[in-house]
Amino acid sequence: MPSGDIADLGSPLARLLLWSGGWALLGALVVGALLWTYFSRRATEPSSDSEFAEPRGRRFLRLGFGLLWIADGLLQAQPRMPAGFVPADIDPQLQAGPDWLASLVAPLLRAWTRHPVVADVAVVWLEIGIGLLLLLGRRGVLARIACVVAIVASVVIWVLGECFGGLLAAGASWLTGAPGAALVYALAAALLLVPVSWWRSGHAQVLVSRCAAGWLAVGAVLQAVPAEGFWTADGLAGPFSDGAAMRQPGWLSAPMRSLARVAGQSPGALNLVVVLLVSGVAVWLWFDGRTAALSGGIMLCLATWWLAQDFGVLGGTATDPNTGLPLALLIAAALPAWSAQPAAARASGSTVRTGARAIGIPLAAAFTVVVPAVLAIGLARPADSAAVAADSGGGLRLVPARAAPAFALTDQRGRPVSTSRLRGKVVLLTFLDPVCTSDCPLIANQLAIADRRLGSLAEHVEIVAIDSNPLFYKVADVAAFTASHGLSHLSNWHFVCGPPAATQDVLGSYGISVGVPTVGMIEHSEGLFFIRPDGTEAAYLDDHAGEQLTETYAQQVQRQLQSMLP
Amino acid sequence: MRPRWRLGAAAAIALVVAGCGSSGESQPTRTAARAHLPSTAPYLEMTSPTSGILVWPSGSAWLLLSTRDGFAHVTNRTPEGVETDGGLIAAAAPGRTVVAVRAHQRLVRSPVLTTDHTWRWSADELPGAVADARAALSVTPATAVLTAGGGTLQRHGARGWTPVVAALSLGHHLKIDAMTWASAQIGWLTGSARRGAPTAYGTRDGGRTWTAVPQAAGAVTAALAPCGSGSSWLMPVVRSGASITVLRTTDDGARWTAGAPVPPSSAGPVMGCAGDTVWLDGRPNGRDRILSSSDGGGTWVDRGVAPDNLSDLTPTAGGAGFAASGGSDPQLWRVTREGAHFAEIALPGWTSSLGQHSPDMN
Repeated sequence: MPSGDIADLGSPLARLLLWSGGWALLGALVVGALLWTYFSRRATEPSSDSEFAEPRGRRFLRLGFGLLWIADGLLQAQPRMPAGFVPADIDPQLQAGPDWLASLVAPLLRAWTRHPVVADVAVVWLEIGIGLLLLLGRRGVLARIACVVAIVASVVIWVLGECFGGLLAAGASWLTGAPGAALVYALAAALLLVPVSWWRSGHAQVLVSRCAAGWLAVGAVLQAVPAEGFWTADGLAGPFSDGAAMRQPGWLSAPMRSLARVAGQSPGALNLVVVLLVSGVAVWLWFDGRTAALSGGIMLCLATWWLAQDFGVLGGTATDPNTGLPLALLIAAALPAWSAQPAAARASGSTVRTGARAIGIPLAAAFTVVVPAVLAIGLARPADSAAVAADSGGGLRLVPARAAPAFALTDQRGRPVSTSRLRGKVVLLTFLDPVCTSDCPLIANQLAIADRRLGSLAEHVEIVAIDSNPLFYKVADVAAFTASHGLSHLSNWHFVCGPPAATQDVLGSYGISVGVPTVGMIEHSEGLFFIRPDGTEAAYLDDHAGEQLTETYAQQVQRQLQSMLP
Repeated sequence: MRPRWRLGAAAAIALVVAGCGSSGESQPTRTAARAHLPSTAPYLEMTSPTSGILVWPSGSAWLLLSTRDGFAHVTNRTPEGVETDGGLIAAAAPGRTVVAVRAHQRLVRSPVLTTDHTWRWSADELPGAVADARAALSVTPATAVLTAGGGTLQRHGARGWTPVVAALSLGHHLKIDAMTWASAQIGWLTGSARRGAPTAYGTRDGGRTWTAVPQAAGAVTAALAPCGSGSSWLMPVVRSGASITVLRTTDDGARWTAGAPVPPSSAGPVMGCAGDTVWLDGRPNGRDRILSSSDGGGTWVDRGVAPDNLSDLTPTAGGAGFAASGGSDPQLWRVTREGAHFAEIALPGWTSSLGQHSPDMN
């Protein structure tokens, strides 16, 4: 879906954010008051936590990624995110990925398309909560919980939200941020889990630089693999030109435009430079973890973050700043300068700090666990109609829940198909001409794509096309169309036909007009009816797409079907 | 050694070049472009001297018109509900007309419509696309219909379409353009093939077995649909060097004799037969001329200048007949004096506007 078509659900999003955040804050204040009282009494004696001198590198990593998680949560709160997350972030990956990926991500898509605002708010608070946990969790159980939660969340986001960092589709490389920003977050959290003594001894810093080196090496390999397409002008210029196309000050985009131009003229040479540069820095970091190598790695990451990833946060549907910045933060945590002296132990018994922890910890717990859990309960409710309609991109409209007009016809296999037999299934109903030369084959093709994307959920859906041609109305005609357009393998595809009088009555009851001109193909209005398992109409997708029928059409159909599935 | 090496290399290169030039389908393709009568040009088929059908362009569509008075009046018989922008292939027999709609845009199977004297169409579909040749469809005296689609002849019967013979099974890279049936048992299929290979086959058992017509091989690169009746048939063949010769049989194809060769016109091998009368758009002296023969193509008489873009010649009886020409200004002609005189037949104005339909809704 073009970004311009993404609905702005800012108002319902803001309302739910305020409502859920307000209740979470209120609850945290209550719990915090109790905890503050508890901590105040204990503050009379020096606590082990207050005496804990956290190594500066670890502290930098913890605070940096804590703030990144919060920033990601704020990005998730962008007004276009509820409607834009699936079409802008997920669908492109699914289009290029294997079928099993679509099946894997289907539950997330179903939940998101049914309740885009609720799902988005849950993710907002979850990410902010993880950020707070990292900021507050210096050591002990709280720190370990923060890191484990961050790792789990990162991996889930990497699989479901980033579709394995785009590795399953062509075009994943160092420049595009492969193998995925969420993995950097997981890596950072894992490094925070290593014993503090490792940070004091310098082992953790070596581990950091080796991990970063490995990451760069993977990026260089991806950049060099021909199948990823970066040896071609189109492939290599893509990241630069995409970034330059974003709205931003001219001085930011000018270098990207220049690089895009160079990539278009000499893709091989430029890609070779990138591969050599990234792999060279990887080798340098692996064998030399000193300031120069680390600085080189940081500069390479930041340069990539700017020039190829365009800071990752522009466009209105960005969920994170891509890998350049987090990876630079990760490498910076290993700088020898941090180990000059450990972070000074805080003054024990600070009232402000005790109060902040007393409120912060329950607030983080509320954001991370309670609010998402409560919102998850809401995901089980019937679909958020307004949000789904707004998310549909315009052609779809919800209709009153009237009973779908009945019909009893015969499908391409010669089997009877009727509204009563279809009861219990979500029905996608359309009207096609078996000897149509233009749109009908395209529509059928898009329906087949949507059906395939549903994966195992397709067993709950029946796709019914009613033969609208009063002259070609035999089973052989609809069977020929089915075979001609590769639909025979779809068990839930029914191209139904019958005597012209019967089918024309059915078409009339659905408001479909048919004209038979003196010369030429029959003319019939088109559209898709989405019918609930109880036989009532749920939505109607008006189709004036004509030759513009593309993936978007299938996506709209797929999302609406998912919103109706149990 | 050096001169011999050079000689050998030159010979090898010459062989490769010659091989490239004669390999693959380049030669049949080059000849085939002018070796059959395409459906996307006006043409007519008469079932009597005054009755017949005319396939006529109208806007982007193609119309099927019928007449019972020698085109003094025409009636639109175009099948409804199908897009005819890709062309129509029509065949008529007394009391029976069949039309195959050429594949167009995303239509991958050709609708086939059949009607009797009531002109009420019965719709069906081929299991493929019909070939772009106006003789790709044939109506037998019985009810069976055969057409060439996807290189396979299909016969229509009670159980729908069944394959009769596949071009591949005949070998030699035959490209089937047409078939003609003398009866339910005797028929011919013709087309173009690599030089030296047969371009025409005959059957005497309804299509179960096919035998190559030896005279339509060798230097012959294409054979056109035979015309005739009973046991007498004429089969025009195109020889390499672009000359047309008419093969004639009077014994159901057991023996064929070749007539005098004639260079075809720039428009292609446009010709028509009625009994032993043959009209041909030829180019005997570098100019397109109408040639006629009354002995089945044995000898030819120059009848005069041919109209531009001639696409069909159909003699009927008594030295008269009809002709059609295409191009940007299609015309229908009444032909008399064995092709010496052409008079344009004015068709009604609706024939040019009927096909200019609005953009499709579906």
